[in-house]
Amino acid sequence: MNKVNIIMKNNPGKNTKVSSALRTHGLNLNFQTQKGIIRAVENVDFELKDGHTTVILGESGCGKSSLARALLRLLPNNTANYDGEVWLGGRNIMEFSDSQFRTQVRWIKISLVPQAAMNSFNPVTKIAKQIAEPLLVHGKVRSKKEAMRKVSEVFDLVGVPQDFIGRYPFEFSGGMQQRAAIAMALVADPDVIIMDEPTSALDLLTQANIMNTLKKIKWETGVTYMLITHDVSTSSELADDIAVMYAAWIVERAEAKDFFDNPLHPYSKMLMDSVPRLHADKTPRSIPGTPPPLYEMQGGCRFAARCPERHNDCDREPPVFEPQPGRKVKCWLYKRN
Amino acid sequence: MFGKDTTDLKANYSFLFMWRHFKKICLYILKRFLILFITVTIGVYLTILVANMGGAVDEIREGQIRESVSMAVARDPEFQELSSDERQGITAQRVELERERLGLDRPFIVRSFMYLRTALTLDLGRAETLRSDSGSARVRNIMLERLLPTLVLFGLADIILFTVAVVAALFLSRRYGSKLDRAVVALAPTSAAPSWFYGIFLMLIFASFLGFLPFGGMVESPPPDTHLQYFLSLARHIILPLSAIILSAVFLAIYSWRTFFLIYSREDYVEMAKAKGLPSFSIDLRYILRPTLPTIVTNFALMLISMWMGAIVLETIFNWPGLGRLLFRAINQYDTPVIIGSVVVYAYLLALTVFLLDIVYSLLDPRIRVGEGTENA
Repeated sequence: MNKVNIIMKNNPGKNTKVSSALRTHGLNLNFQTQKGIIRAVENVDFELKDGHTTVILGESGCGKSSLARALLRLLPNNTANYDGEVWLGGRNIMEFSDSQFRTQVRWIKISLVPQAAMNSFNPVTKIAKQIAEPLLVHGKVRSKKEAMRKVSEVFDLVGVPQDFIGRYPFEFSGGMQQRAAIAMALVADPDVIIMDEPTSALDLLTQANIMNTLKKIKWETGVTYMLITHDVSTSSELADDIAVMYAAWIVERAEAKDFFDNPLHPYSKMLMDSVPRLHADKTPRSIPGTPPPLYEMQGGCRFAARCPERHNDCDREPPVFEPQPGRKVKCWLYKRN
Repeated sequence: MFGKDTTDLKANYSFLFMWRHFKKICLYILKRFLILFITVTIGVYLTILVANMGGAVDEIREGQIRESVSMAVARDPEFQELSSDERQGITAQRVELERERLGLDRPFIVRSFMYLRTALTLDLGRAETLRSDSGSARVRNIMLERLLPTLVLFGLADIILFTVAVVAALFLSRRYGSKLDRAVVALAPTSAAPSWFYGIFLMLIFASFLGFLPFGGMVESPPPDTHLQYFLSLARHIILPLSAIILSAVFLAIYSWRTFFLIYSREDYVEMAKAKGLPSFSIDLRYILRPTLPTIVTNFALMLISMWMGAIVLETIFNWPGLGRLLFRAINQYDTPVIIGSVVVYAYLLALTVFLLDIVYSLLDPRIRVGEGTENA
């Protein structure tokens, strides 16, 4: 069995100290609209540990996808403000010029599995050719033949049959397209793969298959995932670290095990309560209300309006507290006295 | 595992794939060809029915035959001695022969199909008054002689129009909302006027007022001797009609194609291409232009069809020796065979345009080439 060429990285051991693959500091992304300025990502600090899977959890419209866009600098025309620091491989990539960013970061350092794979392939070009494209553009291979060999390797890794190589996107089923999208993200051996709800458009069985494939790839290649999802239960299988996002803020960061046992932020608690449990006799509860629209932000904690534990402090924006080592919460409840 | 077997397997597959594609394309083209041929046939047949007024014209022709035969018999010195009864007998006999020769003794429905065959093969006999430049009166010769100038003018106009409009539309779609973009949008309604309308204006400005381009015609008269001079003269003469055609369609084309580009550039795969780190030139070409082309080609086909309609008047005002001016003259001089011939040739040209664009379309869009919904996994 020919082993896949992707460099074997250390598998994440529970107690080994791991370096960070990507770290952000004070990352902001705002859009200008007719209703006012939309704060989609505000003052975000987080890190993706090397070889770990970090799950970004949150409801729809809380800025998760914008965070992915900010990391890849895929900015819409109405971007009003885009600043902060993103450290990748010892360099702050926010300082890169656009052409530097294109040639040195996109796809070879950070790649993306988009939300809807069926729309992420050009309908008039063969999928294999589209997967090989970044290799050729970034000069990762010497010939088209070598690129196609690489494509057939990643097809193998994600479980797309080899005879799909000559096919067009419309000849792929939805699940196969999703696998192909994952293959495309893997093809250039990136440091970080951002997955923006990779299974949300698929049926449950296909979802489970894809999640298993992702797990397999993680073990075989030690790749770093950033998994964006609203689905607590599917993400729990893959997660090493959790970052909970609410209204453009990261409100809680923790290791997955600690988080699932004992979420700290009131929003995290309610999010966990909303998940049906298999072995516990508990009725899932929904979180009353909706996240605030991102364009009419007031001062103070943004979750206060829905929070059962709000108190006087909540009128001011909470700083990030660290009540236990390795756990960070943006909530006044954990203020050290 | 990825040894020799897989490469063989892949080679096999690609051969199978190509064969599958080839068969699909052939089938598709054949189907399109048959459909278009049936369309043309029906169109020409309807023209024949109308041009003959459901057989009424044949009765007139019969009367004409009777008249000319009886005149000929009356004038012929050979028959001067015969009694009028005998002369009438001979006349009736000759009329009957002539009717049989022309097929007028058969019912109209049979005759209409005979006409259809001769019309479709352009075997329309002799023109009544028009002659070709080489002096031939055969309708087919007249038509073929006029076909080339029309094809040169409109072929060139179509190619320029397509290229200019595609490039300009792609350029504007990248600068959506700019002053230039808004100017083109504002100019789009100018395409409501036909090409000859602009032709008259251009003629006024460049031929009459400024005087540095000729009013009409295809080359100077007498035609220049050397090929180069002939070509230069042709170029000078073609500028105005060419500009008129392009001017009458280009803004609408740019406007609508720019909109297509805008729609397609919002697709997710364009963003993915950007995320993949492709340079913007490749994104424009492979991820915006390429997927949009099938739509544009369809739109272009519709545009060409309406452009053929304007050809008749445009060629007439520019005195361009093409099919349009021929048809105009034939109508003026009641030259029925030439009129029918022109209609048939126009029908063929239209069908040919659509057919060629269908082939282009099938090459551009793999969903037609390969066929939708084959072996989904």
